[in-house]
Amino acid sequence: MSPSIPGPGAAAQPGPAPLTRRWSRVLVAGTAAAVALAVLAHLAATFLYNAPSNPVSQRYAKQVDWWMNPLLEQNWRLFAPNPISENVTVQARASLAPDGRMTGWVDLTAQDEAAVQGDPVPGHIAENGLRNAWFGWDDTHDGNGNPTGGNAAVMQGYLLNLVLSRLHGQVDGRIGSVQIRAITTLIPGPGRTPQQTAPQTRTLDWWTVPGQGVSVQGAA
Amino acid sequence: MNPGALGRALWWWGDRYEALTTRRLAARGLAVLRIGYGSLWVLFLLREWVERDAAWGPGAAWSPQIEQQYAAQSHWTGLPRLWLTSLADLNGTEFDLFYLAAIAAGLAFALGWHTRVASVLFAVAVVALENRSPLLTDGGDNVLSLMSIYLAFTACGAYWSLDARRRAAKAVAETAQALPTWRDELAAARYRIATIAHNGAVLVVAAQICFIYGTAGLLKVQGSMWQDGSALSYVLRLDWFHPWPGLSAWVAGHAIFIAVAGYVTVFVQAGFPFIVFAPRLKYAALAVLVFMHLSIAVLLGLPFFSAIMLVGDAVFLPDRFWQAAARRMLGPAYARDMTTADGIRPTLVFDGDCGFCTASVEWLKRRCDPAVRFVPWQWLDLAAHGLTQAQVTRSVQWLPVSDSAPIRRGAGAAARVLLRSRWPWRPLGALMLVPPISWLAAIGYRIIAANRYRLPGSTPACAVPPAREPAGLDPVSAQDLGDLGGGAHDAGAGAGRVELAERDHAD
Repeated sequence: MSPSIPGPGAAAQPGPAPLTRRWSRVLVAGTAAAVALAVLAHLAATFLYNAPSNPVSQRYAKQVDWWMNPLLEQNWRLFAPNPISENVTVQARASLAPDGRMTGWVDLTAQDEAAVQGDPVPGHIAENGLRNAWFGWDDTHDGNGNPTGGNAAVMQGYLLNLVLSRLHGQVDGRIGSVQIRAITTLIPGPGRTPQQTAPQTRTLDWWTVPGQGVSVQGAA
Repeated sequence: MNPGALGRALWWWGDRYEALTTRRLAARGLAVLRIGYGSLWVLFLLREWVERDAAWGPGAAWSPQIEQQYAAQSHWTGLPRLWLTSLADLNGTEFDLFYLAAIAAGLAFALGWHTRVASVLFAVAVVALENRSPLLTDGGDNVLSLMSIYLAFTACGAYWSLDARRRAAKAVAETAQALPTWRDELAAARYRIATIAHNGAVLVVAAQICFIYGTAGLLKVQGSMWQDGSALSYVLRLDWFHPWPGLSAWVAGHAIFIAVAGYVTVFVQAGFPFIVFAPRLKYAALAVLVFMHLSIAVLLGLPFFSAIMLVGDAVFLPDRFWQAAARRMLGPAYARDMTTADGIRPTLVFDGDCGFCTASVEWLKRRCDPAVRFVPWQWLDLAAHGLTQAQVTRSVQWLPVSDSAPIRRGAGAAARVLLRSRWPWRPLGALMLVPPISWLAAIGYRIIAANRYRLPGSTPACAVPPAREPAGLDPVSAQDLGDLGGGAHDAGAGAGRVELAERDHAD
């Protein structure tokens, strides 16, 4: 390093040389205008996407949807408006092919909770898998298990797959069909009677495993 | 409007335009986002390594068939559909290769290695993987996915990156080359276009974070449980988010704390889009958010979600803040970059003949080298600085940068050196300037100075003659001194005497 020259890398952000030609000025100004427009459009779309339904968002629903979906989808209902205030336990049992022998109820949620407990960095499958799958199914089906939403088939297929993959290795034999039940317990709190906070069990119909059933090697 | 006002308005807009097309906003904050998101992504993928197949691989419950059904149902088309469903049909080996590539992209992005390319690959990998199993994700994945897209438009590799290091090295090696003017012009235009895109993306990143907190906060305001302050007590009793049941139960037992924390959460979240415009309140709000996210990380077992949110908040801290943080963490190495720029720094004049003094200066140099210049008086044209030999042999002298500031000596000089040193010595320097500690320090200094030839480290016998380098000064510092006007070899002769006056007292 030459002693008489100030040290390198010391200058803060070096500014660019000034523009001297018309073509470069036009190029930069055009970019600035395009970026400004894109940013404004994005901020407006993001606002309308996140805001409650209103005349503006209804009017421009198509454009907003085109802009935001699927890359910029977002949902910030983080424990809002009210946090979940119930504990749901998802259990499943299987009927084994070909003789129809039935297994006992397997408490999948308890297994997740055991995996999460004491783990400073819980995994996504244990923490989100079954919970989101259950609520995803519950949101797209009515009380009798009939589909209500457009994604009902997707949600049912996903829940079934997830439960099958979880039963994998826990039952000995080939699974012909599966039954799921959810035990919902309201967390006690102000204004909640003991009757309300008693566990409610909801048992779904038997779901046949598509194809020839899933061959399961027992863990025994 | 009279012509003067119009002229001023036009000037103002021109000024804004010039600033927004040449100055990159929050460049250091964006570097923090890059390092943060890149590292979190790598850590996340390593955490899920064992479960990668069941989560996103061929063994995922979200099967290729379901994926296609979902894509059709959601009316995905064209390139986005291709991108979002790209992993569904990979076999085990292909998926593992993708997974490793995704880790590599995260590493390259965090390190700032070919950042422009790495940022695009990072976004490609993050969005593809996060959409492979949409129902496996939480809010953190959503934020990461969006931010990876936004960051691809920024110049997030401008600081604290391998790219920045390479550029700095290149700038030294490079001599001015005569380029065709149109290429110079193109380079200037390119820099501006990149800057415009960067500034737009920074605005989007900041607005996105405001949308997140604002939406979450305003929705909570409508919730009866957040209104009556009971919300957090329910959250703490959710078995799904319960890594430490004993701890959660203990916190849930404090009803007052729960209610206050719930209210503070709602106020800060709902107010966040406005608070960021209040420079001082902003820091308080960010402190609350740090506490909130740390609690979520531990109590609810959502460390990645919390960390991703916190990294995003970094965009609201100004470059000034990050410069100070870097100074604190890197100490002298950072100060070297900062102070060699102008060559103006205060000087401590010491006795180069005294072994104890030289050893002490060596110790100080290690702690605050580039921020302060250390010069033995034997090298100095004393009269030019208004010093006498009696003064410099009695105590060290502090020559401030500014002409108007007085020369300090003894303990006061030592304190000012410490003030420019690295943590944890800096507060000691501050204390030494405050009476009555300053009086004690002055007495202590006088006692030490009077007895310095008796102290350990002192080697009066090996006192260095003025014409030679004083013991302990390494060649580099001798070179540094070269810019003071005199070389190491001609010091001592009248013409070679070190001239500090012009440079150091210039401003």
